[in-house]
Amino acid sequence: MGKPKKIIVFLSIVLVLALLVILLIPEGNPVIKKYKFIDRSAHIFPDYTEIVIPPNIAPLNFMIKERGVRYSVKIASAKGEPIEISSDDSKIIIPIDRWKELVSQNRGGKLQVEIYLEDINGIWYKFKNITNQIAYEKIDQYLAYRLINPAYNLWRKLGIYQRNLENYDESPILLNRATNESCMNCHSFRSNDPNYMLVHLRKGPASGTLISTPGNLLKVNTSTAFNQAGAYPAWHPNGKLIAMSVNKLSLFYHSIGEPRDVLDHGSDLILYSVESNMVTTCPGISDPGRMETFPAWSPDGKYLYFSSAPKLESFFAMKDSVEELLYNNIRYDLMRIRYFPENGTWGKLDTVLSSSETGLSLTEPRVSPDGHYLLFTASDYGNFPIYLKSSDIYMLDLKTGKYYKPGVNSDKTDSFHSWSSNSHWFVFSSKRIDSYFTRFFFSYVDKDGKAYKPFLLPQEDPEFYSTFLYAYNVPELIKGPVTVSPQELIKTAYDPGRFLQAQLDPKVLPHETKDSLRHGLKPYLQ
Amino acid sequence: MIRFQGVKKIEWDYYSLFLIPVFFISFFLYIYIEIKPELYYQYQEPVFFLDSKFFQEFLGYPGGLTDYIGAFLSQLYYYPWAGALVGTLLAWLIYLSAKALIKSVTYFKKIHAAYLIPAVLLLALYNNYNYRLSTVAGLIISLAIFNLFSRTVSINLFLRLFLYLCFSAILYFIVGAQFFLFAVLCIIFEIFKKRNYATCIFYAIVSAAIPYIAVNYFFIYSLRDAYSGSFAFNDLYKPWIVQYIFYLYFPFLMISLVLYERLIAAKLKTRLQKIFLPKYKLKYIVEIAIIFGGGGLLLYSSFDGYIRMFLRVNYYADQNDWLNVLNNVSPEDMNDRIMAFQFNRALYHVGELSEKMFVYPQPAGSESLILTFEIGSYLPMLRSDIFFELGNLNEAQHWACEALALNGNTANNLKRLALISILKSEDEVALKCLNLLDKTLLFRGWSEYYRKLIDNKSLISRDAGLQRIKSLMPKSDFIILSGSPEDYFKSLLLQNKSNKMAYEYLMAYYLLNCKLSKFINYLNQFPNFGYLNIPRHYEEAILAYIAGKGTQKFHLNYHPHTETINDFLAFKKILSKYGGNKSAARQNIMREFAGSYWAYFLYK
Repeated sequence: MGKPKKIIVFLSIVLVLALLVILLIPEGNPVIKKYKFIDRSAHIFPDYTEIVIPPNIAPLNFMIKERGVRYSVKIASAKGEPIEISSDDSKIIIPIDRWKELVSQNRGGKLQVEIYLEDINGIWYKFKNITNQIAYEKIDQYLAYRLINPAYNLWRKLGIYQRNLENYDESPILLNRATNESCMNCHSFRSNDPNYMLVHLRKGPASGTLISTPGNLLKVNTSTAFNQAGAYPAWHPNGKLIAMSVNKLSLFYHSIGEPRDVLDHGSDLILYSVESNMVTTCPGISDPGRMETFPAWSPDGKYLYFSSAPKLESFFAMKDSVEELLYNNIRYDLMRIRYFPENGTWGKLDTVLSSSETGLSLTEPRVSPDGHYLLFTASDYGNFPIYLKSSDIYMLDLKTGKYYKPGVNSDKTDSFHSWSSNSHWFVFSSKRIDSYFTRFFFSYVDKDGKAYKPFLLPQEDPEFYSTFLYAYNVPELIKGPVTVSPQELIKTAYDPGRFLQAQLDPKVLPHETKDSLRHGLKPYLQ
Repeated sequence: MIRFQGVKKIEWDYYSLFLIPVFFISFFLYIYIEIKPELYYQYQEPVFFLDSKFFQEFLGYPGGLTDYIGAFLSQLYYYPWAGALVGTLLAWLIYLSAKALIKSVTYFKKIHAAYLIPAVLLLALYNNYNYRLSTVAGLIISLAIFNLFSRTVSINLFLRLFLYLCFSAILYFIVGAQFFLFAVLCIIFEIFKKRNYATCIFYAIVSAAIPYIAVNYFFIYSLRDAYSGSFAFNDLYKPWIVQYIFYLYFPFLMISLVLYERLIAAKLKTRLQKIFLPKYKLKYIVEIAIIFGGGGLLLYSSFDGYIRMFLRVNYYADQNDWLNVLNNVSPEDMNDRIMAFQFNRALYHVGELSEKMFVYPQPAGSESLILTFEIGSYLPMLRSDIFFELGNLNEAQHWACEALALNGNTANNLKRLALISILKSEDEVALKCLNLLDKTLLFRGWSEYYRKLIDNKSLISRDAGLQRIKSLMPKSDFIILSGSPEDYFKSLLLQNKSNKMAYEYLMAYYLLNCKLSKFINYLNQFPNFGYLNIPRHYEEAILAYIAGKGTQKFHLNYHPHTETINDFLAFKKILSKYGGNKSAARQNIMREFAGSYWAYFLYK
């Protein structure tokens, strides 16, 4: 090769490398010297404005819902280096390490978000700053939940998952593709402890209740001569007992609004002993004249809270020559019953809050781990608040007996909640975004019991929810990841050697047959 | 010698140039004309999104990648020519794989029948609309990897064992349990070509262990599926054995060719040459007879014309091509509730439900109006369709969601949910569906149109289809008692008195159940729906009612046509000729009045 050729080759290589360097080096943040100020906050999705966030939450990535050709965001707090992000599209993806550093350094402080955008004419605008509060108290690291298509009668693909709230890692606890497409739900943990877990599988050879305790994993059929398999489980704080409801529920449908609704026509509560594999109950929680559901223990294990409504003699009436279902005058009271775990006896039954006092149906009680507050859902009627637009979350101060509606609710369904182990956070399901798909929101509770504006479960891609057609079900905050692997759960579900048939307490009389409980119902409700 | 080879070459080229293209052109035409790829699309409703999230879902289980490939390719069924082309290309790849397989184990060449038999078997499998392209993709990949692996025959044993381990693990991840075909071929190869039995044992142990390890440590999958999941065997195939022969063919071919070559051909080499070489023409004739004759018979026995008709009717119904629905349903098909349902639905849409409903027999009775819950549980979109057309958006949504749960985010499910949400002013849900449709290969235009309707609500009033549904929607809430069609139609009418479809279906319900008193009670709403004439079946029912009661106990502004009255008199005359014995009169009445309500009423 002659010298001129070598020079040409050398210069070409240099040119290509230079071009590569120009293309690959990220563009720096623009220096915005001049801008016009807009006296309002920028519209962003999710709405991460004026909220209180945990110091250990994953970055709250968001989209700027304002028209521009370039965006610049500065996230700053009193201590530490601010985070500056610039982007040609409206997605703001916050670097996780820098976010963690900034947020953890400023526990209890404020977090300022400055948003700038450049319009098509090259003019920069600055919106009013968004100010969020960083709480001092952390939220439990993990969240367990079920993902399912909007549930009616059929299902194929569903699973129970856990999400690390400190980042975006989601991993399955159990998937039904490994269990003959069985239905699975009712995942429950003892006092936010992932080492004590229960999952119920329905239909198919894997069906049963998987109960995991430290060093032990079993499948139990909790149905007995008294009851069908239990649902809505609540672990006693001692980890040896699980309260469950045995529900007789029927799905029915409305012609406008939310299509789905549920009729309870005969629920009871039972208590399952993990140690003795025995099911028991008492008249206070399985009154034939009432329907009891949604058990929840007080953190000291002395009280079992639940919802209860009188059972109707008939669920039908004739109107305009068309048979009408009587569903909207069934309202549940909040009850509690004293329990003595040391000898397994029951005490006095109390009405904590009556539906006649509130005019609402009171369901899903959950006591805060410090025993101070009780969160519950109140709706116009019924026992299935997730399908009722009127459902809102309420708080009851167990020390004063006063109840109130915290400022976390929307005009859409707000229901099913779970406390963080430090009693300063709770997560709940809400349909506020699109009125159909449940999404999880987190709210901070201060020492005075005030709950703050909730924020949506963050996702790495802030557009995630715009194409996600699964509903998030039954959020449960847990202190760490579930220790038992999906493979172990699957093995146990199919292993006859690890299967137990629950025994009925000899003191409990077998119930009426299931058919007789359905007496008076139409075939399409059965 | 040179001359002989030259002749041979010319013969070979001529034969290949003739046979192979003719075979694959026939293959293409058979799929295009007989099978009709659009019916595959109709039945399978493949889901595919150009989206990394969607791709990641397929990485979570063994065989997911071939499912992904299958999902992509199946989109092309939407265009009949593209679907036929894809089916043919896969068959061609199978042909090449079989050719390479034979080449890798024997010295035999030019046994075209052996190369083409798998393609024929594949075509027989294509005859079943349940057949998944992911299955054939998995098989092709397994054969390709085997053909690659068979070339490592001369390398160091330990390296080969290591390669086998790697190939198996990767292949298992890509094709799932179909990798057993690769394993079996490798074992046969090792036994017959290398006679290394220890290696075979190693292969067998590795092959058995990989799914076990995968399911216990890497994937959330049942043990049964780990060993058999991606084969997708089922009892729908006709003849059922074809699906197994399709896999067994390759090991069988390999063993038989190797044995033939070793035990017979080697000894008879000279004689064989004498026998075969001068008789190429005979060989070709035999091959052509096997491929086209045997193949034809196999296709004939594996094709289910009824299923094709069933899918075709549903396809036309989905396209709102009601005349073609009516043209494709025959009287015998009315025994099938779904066909009867589509027939009645089509009649309503062409405005002839009350005129011609009884032209065909209605053995399914009122179950052909709204399909049962049981049918809905495996064909949920059919229930969604009828509720949507009745303006009952909530029930349409209910069944579209059931379809979503059963079949995933198919284009039809997303479109239906989008339309319902637009009509219910639940724009956020509609946008979710449209956002997903934007990620499809085929429905971006559809999405774009309806996105405009969300942005500008006034455009909804210009969309005749949406406007019609909107006008039928219930005005206030009621509980849907769909298990009781009568109450259901009555409720729809009560909530929206202009719901003509609910009215006609209620009246059809009464006619099908011979509840003439109730039919007469609802005749007073008849003037609300703008009929120009009283429909034929209504006239027939009125006359039957009057004849039954002996008096006209109701007021009606319409008078039955003279021809109808005359027909009824003729009908009565036949009946009275047989002394009122309807069994005896049956043949006569059915000959004269088979399409009338009277015949249905009498012989239901």
